[in-house]
Amino acid sequence: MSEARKAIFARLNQRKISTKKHDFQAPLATKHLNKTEAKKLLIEKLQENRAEVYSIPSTSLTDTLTTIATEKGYKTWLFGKNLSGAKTASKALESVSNEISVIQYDSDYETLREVLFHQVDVSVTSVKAAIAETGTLLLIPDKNEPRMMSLIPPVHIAILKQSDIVTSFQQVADNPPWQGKNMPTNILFISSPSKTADIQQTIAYGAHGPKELIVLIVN
Amino acid sequence: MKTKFSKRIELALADSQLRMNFRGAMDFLRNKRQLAFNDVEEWQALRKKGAAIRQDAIQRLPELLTQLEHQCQQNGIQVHWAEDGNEANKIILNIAQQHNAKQVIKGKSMATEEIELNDFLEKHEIDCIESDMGEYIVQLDNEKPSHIIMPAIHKNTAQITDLFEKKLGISTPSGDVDALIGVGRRILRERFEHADIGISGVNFAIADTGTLCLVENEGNGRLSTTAPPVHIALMGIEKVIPNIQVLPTLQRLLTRSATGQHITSYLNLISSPRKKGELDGPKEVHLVLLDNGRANISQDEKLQSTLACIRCGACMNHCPVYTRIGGHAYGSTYPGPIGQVVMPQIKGFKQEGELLDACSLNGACGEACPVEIDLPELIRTLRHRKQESSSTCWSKEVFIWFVWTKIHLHPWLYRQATLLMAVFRTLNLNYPKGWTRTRTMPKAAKMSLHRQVRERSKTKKKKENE
Amino acid sequence: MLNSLPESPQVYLFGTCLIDTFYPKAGLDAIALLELAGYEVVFPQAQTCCGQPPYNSGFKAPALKIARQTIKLLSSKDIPVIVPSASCASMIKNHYPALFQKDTSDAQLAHNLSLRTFELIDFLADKLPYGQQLSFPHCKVTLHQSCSALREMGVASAWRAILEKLNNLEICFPENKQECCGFGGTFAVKSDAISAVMTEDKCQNLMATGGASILSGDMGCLMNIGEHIKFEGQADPCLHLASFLVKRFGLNHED
Ligand code: SF4
Repeated sequence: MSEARKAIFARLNQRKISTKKHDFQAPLATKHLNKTEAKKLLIEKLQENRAEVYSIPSTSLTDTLTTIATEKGYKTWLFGKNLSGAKTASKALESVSNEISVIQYDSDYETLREVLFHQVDVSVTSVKAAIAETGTLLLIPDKNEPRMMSLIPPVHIAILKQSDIVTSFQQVADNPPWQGKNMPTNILFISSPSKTADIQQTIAYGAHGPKELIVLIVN
Repeated sequence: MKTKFSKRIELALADSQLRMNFRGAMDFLRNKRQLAFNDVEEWQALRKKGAAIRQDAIQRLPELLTQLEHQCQQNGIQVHWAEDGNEANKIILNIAQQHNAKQVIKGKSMATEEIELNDFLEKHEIDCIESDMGEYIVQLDNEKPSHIIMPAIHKNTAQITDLFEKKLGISTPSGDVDALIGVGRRILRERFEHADIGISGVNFAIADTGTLCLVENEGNGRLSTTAPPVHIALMGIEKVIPNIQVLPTLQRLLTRSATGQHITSYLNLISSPRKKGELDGPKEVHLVLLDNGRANISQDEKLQSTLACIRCGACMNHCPVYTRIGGHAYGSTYPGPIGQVVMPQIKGFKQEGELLDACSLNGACGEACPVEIDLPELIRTLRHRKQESSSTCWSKEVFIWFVWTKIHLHPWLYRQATLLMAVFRTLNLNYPKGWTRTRTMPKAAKMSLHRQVRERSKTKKKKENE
Repeated sequence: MLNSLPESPQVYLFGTCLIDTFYPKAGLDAIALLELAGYEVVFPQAQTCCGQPPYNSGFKAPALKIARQTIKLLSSKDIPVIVPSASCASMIKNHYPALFQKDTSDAQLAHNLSLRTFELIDFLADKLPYGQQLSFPHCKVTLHQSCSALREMGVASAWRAILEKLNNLEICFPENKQECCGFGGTFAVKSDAISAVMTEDKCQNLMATGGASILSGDMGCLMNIGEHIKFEGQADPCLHLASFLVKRFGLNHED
């Protein structure tokens, strides 16, 4: 055990002062939103924060992606392995034009780094849940959908199931979608494209991460 | 005789551009926060809860830190303890040297500013680059941050355009913030791609799961903690919280108070290094726990609440002194009210005690603080401590208060004193100088209130007797 | 027969040292208003200062001595203590109790005094006979809410409310109305450079409202503001709220 640790704990344990009870368990008054309200608020908040949001039926996911590809001219697409329908979508995208290529995040970052930083135009990931109150997407990256997917490519398309929308962050914290103390390596709450207001309080998007965030809410 | 601090103040006040930049920025931030907390009742309830969460954590530091250490180690995070800045620097250098690191990329961290990590690493030939846009700008100009949330707030767009032109040789259209950010993005991405080590701060550390929480907008924090093969996080020991259930409250208070945002672009929770089979993330994560005076503060009944701070910056945004002189004039890591409270405690009154004078005790900071830290009371208490700890020699100030007390403790003396002032009321004194630099001297009344009340009751009695 | 006359309730007036020496008129006006509200005013001649100046400047021991003296002085009768200054009222109400060790008899007395201490305007707000005010032509005044009134005492809304009950009166507030005027007691001398800038800004904002008078319930702020305006070569437009109210109720007393 380090000397420093010992010394710090000795100081912390001087017990020079009496302790008081601080009650913070009482929950704050919260509104509970029904499904429709929650979805409406989520969309509103995401748009306020410069995300593009589309609400689509599950059957048209592939169509929507190919439309985005044509309209925006995104060429190199990055997929992980979590997304159901990824295979179909990849095939469809590649058949839109021979300029479009699809890359799978299936080797480690060190191998893929060059490609990630310099080639990929857009990546598509799933979303674990979304928080209506703040317009926030919850992502839990794993080996199938690594952390960099929502960070390095200039455009991030996030696919959210409508049934996964909750009202508040508190709800997520109280009933987390992970197992007790077994925390995933990384948990991300994403609420907008990367941005900064560090120059004269003027907001600029795409500071370091994605410049665009596109959210597809699938029914 | 002028002290250094007062000189810096005079210089800052004379810089009209600087004053305009700060006034504009502070008005902007205050308004944004106001809008975010427009529901007063909700704000008060949230604030109460936030304060209770933090105070509870401060009281339970030994327990929570033990738990945090244990849980982090379980998760594969390596935990280090540092008694002061010097130790923390050495720990970090050691890790860097083990990895033969030459390039470090940094996320925003006030704790690393506190220990002056950059200078230390540079001395050991490790290149340390700041990746937060504001920090990057400040570093480019060889400056220190002037605000804990918005490091480059003292500069306007034109000044940054010039800086980029001069230091990077890259010119951008005037007034084009997007172009400036684009330049920063390009240069820093290159660094992220090749850095050997990423260093970050920590906003909160969750004890029961061993999780580091980072709050940010730019994504540089995520990049610093994901791209390089090694991640080192430095945190003050007071930043520990018991569990994730308390995080939503603190997050809300932090981001709304800081920038008026309901949430930041990213909230990044890190609980372990890259696990087997995972494809990215650092292979090593180190957590350096820094004391640097904090443990002692936690044992001081009157000053303990200093540690509740969540570093939101609201107190400086609301401080009329900070608004006018800006962050650099304080010459300290943490400026503004929280700086005036923290710095004398971690560096001593000799070095930082004079910061305590620059406060009118108007209370705006305490009112704004999201975790109910009574900053004016802390400043007052520290003024008392400073006085008590100073040698007993007779300074001018001590003498003045000695005489003052004698007079005010003896009603008769006091009456003579007011009488004297009344008699000599027409004397045109130009003293004290501080007062008369922008004001005339008030004239004592011909007759004090005491005397007038006495005369009044005499006349009354006379009338009653007639 | 005489005994059956109901006695008017009594209050202490703690006049504050600043009013005592420089602005006794404000003190007399406070007395007049309290009498108008039906109180008999007791003014202990042995009062001096509340002790705030040394207390805020880092000198706790003198403040403690002064506090003891003041507490004793204001505790022989169990009646309200009225202070025509939010800042001094706050010293007595909020800071005295914290000066003493918990559970000592001093602390008990301080606590008792704290409960009986009121800022003048706040105390009067619901006690004045508004029906008796004289009529005045339309007039515009500017209210300076002192920091102590806004924050430590929370009486700024009462100041505003009392003005709103007066006829033909337009109440203006300066830009950045929540901001300190730069006085802060010894701050004005110790940190004179910053204080000067704050004072200049405050006065500019106050004057820009175009109010005929600048009103407040804290003579410290008004002295700072008024002396700066005089320094700039203009007439001092500052008036204690008590003095303004006295005019409105037509209460004349010999100066
Ligand atoms: S003291 Fe309060 S207001 Fe100031 S930075 Fe800390 S939490 Fe924010």
